[in-house]
Amino acid sequence: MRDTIEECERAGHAEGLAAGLALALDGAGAAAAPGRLAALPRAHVPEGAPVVPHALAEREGIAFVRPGTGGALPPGRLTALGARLAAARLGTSRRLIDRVVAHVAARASGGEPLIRKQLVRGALADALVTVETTRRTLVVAAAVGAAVTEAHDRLTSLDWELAKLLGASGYAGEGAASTAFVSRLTANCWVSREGSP
Amino acid sequence: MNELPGEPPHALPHALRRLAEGSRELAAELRDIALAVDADPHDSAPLRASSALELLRVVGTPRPFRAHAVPAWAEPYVDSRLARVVANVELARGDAGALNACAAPSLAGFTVDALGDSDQQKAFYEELANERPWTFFGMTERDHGSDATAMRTRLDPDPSGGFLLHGAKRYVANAARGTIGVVWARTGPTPLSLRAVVLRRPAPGFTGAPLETLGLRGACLGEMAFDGVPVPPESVLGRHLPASRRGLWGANRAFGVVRLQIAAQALGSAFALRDAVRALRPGWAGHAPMSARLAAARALLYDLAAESDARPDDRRPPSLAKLHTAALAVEVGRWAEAALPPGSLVEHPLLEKWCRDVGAFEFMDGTSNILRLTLAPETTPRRAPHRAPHQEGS
Repeated sequence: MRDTIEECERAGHAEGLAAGLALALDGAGAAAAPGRLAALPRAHVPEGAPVVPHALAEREGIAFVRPGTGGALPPGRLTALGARLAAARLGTSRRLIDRVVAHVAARASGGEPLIRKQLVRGALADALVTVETTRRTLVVAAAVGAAVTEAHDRLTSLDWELAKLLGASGYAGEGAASTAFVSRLTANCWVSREGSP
Repeated sequence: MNELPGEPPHALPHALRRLAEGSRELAAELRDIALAVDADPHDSAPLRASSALELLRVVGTPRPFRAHAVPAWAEPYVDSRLARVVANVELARGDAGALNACAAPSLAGFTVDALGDSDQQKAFYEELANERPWTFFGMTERDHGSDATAMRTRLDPDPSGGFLLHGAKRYVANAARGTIGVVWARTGPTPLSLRAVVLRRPAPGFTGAPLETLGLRGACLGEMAFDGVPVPPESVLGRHLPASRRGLWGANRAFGVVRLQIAAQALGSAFALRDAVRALRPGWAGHAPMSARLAAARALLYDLAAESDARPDDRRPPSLAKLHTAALAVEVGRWAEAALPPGSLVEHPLLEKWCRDVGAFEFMDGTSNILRLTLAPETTPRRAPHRAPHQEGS
């Protein structure tokens, strides 16, 4: 499992969310989704499949597809898929860290580079801790559904904390917040939670 | 407005309770156009056709400058920061994106209120009454973000009289469609040389373009460029004020109002998300802890708005309010996601939209880190006497 997790993270980091999702699915199609929508790499959407239009997702190479009839994956396999997807998301989060570091290193406030500001340094340090702890969680607890769900929640939170460091530039245009939001929507399609209806 | 078992009744004066109720009715109309505004925020047809937005435009205008009367319930809106907060929570509970599409005086108006002389205020508001334009407020620049003292936009003397404006602004609401507003520039190197001018469009050298944003798209953020835009002397605000009050003092006054308004909109959006979960899970009692937090946030927001009315130059109450509710709204979006079945965010377009919208409050008129710096104590605190929560008539 460790190799698979590492490979999904590498794909998410090097090639982006759609490539990471493709690896994470490991051949699973829309019918495997636990809810009423599946997130698939656009290139994997079967011809004629009912797609819910979503401009932001299209930009990331992701499509939301109605699964139709078919059986969702059994819980154990769904959890494993969720762990691989979290690894792919972790890779995209690391992309975001790279971008944030470049941004705060290039900007100054009050005559001092943002990257030297204590609040910024603290946020970046916390981000690195989250990356390392989430990666280990996915390696040692990939079969524990609640741990995988919690990893996804941590990644959603991490992405937001990072996007904030980009200021409005991350929220506008084809910005980091947009990619992070599609990452979150993708997880929302594949992560089943205890207690939700 | 009471939603929790045993929750004490809100100690709002009767007039503000009526304002809340009227705002809630208007909110339903904002909800009706929410998805259309999000899909194409630059399509002015549904905005011009909205009776709710037209009423809000007039309600937000100072009383002496209103083009026509407003319903009695809406009269208190401009009387206090607390009144604006009470109304904005309810309006944003309908849809904050549509609310931000309103052609209201907004930050430009608050600045003209703080820095304009009577002639400037009259000219500004008469144009708003006659032309019903969208307004803009240009302060942020591409490379300086919230650091206003580092702004580079210049107001240079024009040899033929008046001034010439050079520079650029970014993340300006209504940057492409606004035809009147306020732009900040410097006349010299010191913080006291920052000045606000009223700008109209079309004008030579003045261009604007929209920017795509993830959410709250009704605000139509964009960028503006000024290449020698002529500015007559009568358009420079603060001429009648002492040097210490011509510049950023006015901006801080305006930000005090608008940060509370944004805090209210963030909280209203959080309520909208909570309401949606309750509608999708009828009978589910699991919302109670979050509902309690929202009720507490509203009580705190009301208290902070009342404090701000009493001390309008104190930047801490608006900062605390926005810092809390902007983060809470994001958190409620995640809570909603966890409370509903997989795929629910894309399945329910308003939920999806609100989860995008709530991120915008972080970046509007002071990011959380800037607000933290305003709020953090700089000296050993004095022991403050215990204060009861805001009471009727206080």
